[in-house]
Amino acid sequence: MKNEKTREPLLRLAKRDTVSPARAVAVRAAAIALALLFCGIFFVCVTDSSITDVYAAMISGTFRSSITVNTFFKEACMLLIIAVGLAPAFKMSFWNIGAQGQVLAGGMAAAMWLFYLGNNLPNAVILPLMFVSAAVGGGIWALIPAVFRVKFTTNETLFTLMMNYIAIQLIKFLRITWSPIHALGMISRKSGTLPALFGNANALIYVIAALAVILMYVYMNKTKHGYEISVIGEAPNTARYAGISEFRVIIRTAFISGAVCGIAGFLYVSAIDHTISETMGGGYGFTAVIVAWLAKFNPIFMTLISMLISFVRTGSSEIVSRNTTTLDSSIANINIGIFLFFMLGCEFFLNYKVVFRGGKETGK
Amino acid sequence: MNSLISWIHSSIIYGTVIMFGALGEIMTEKSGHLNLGVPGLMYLGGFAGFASAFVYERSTDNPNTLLLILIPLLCAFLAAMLGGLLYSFLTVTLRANQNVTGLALTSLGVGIGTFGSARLLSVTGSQSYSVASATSAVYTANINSVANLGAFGQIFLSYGFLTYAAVLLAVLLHLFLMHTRRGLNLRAVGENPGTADAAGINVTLYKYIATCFGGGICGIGGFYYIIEYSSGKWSSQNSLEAVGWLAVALVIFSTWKPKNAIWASYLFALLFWMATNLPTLTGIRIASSVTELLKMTPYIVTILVLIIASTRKKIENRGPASLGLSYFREER
Repeated sequence: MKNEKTREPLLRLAKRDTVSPARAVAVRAAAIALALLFCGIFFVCVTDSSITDVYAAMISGTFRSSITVNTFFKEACMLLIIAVGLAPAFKMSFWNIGAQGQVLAGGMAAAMWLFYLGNNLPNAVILPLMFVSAAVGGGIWALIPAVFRVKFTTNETLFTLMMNYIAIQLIKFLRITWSPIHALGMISRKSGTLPALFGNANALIYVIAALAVILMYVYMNKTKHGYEISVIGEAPNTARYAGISEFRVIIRTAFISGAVCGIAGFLYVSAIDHTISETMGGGYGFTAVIVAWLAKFNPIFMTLISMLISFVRTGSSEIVSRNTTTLDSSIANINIGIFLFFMLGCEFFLNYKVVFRGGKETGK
Repeated sequence: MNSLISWIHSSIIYGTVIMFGALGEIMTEKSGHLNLGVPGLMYLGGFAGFASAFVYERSTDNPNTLLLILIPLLCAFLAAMLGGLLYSFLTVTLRANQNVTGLALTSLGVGIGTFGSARLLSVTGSQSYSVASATSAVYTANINSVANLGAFGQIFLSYGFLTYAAVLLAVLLHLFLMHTRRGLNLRAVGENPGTADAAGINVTLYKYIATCFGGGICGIGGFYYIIEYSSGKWSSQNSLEAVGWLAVALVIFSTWKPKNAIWASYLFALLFWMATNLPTLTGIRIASSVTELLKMTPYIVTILVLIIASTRKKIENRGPASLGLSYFREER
């Protein structure tokens, strides 16, 4: 930068107009490989085992048995559902980073039915009730910030974030109210548990995740609503000129976004945890933001990235379980962090190119 | 009376944690970068400061007071600064999305903090926390404990020196931003990097320095939390993350002005502790479940503040104009 006045700088950036699909895949694959390498080296540093052992442990921890494979898919699906929920909001430039709170709100709404009527209603009645109220609960949690965003241009990033903490306190309140001994275990009721499919208790989670991805893809790419979302996200003035009601679209999209996260809460209550707790959602709120962003809302990429993150997570916890004296589960967060930084960094090489002194800006 | 004093006392300590975070974030945002990694930076700083104090205390029988102060403070600042450096490399040089990068930094920082604390626990063999008592003693040394000055002493003089340093820092940052050439340049970078660039200001350098320095201050906030608020204990359960988010929100409340951050942090902290202190103060018995509901107050207040802030239309109360946008010179 300093030599600017006298001669051309050594390195210079130029924006890329288009990226070939081959290049996009290559750059991302390189970033993933580097990230996995980095995670491996990190584990070598903290466990005294060789790098091949580390990878072998990560792979066997994920694919060893049907139980571990199920955990791997379950975690990937939960992350995916939340990311799918966030995608339309981000496409509209609505920074919903309160997925955690929306999951909790959905979970609370579902658990309410389970707690009060779980012994009286059959599965066929209570599960749909839980499902719908979870979606509405999550939706309302995202709707409140959206209303203020449209009416007063209130900063929705922090508003949705604060809604997380309000949901956390509500859950703590409910746990104490519902359970006199202040420690709510599983809410064991006769009904309200998601049935197994083909003998697999998680099968319905996979089905719901797959449906969510497909429906959201269709909604965002093939419907008028989806079109309105992208116009508002990319060119709000154009949207105003074209007569698209900003108020209606933002409110509607935020509600849908929260509702999908609420459905994730329903799954936690009916299929995974069978109770409510403030750690429900597994800290996926922020990770899902990054997944949705990295995938550019592309459902296939979203699925792939969710699975990769789930792999890093289950692989890390396998290594933790082999070294319980020195490691703990938070190591998975570090690895996911490393992974995300590499993926974020690689975007640069897709959007910009580095030109050396005297080099030509080719490929325009 | 006593419960009122203890309410104010805990609020000033808690408010100082938020103030450090808010001051760091104000510096960062003045350069046009919204760093949502504040909780992560606080974890990084808190952990690095604590761990270095812990290691130093164990390595020597007679710890030197000056080193006890300098080592953890420097480590906290440097560790969080490195976090800020990582953030600025991604957002300034690689022009990654600021919100997403900040959230990734939060995940990473919180992960490193909790991971490191587990390692420390395995060293001490203690179950729930580890302590750096000598460091804590130095950092919490205060006038009131030497000469008992009654209520006045308890309210104003019963804190370690970092508490006063936070106020001093706020004043210094105010002077820097509003009354120096470099402060003016930094504000220009945040308002309109294109114009600043044309005026010959090194935009990249200003963004890097502001983000790294701001990160370092957040780190000191995390360290202060451990050493004064938790009296030198690093436990696996702490609420640093929530404090970090409150600090980010406080930046909006204080309209990006360091001097406003002073009273705003204390006000926030008073509200934060209202849930536990107001019942004892007024003598009303409250069920523990209702206390959990009352603990929502700071977050609801934050939301109200965000709404009020967004209805203000005065231009000097708004944030830097280019906040959140990456700057690419060839794209104007």
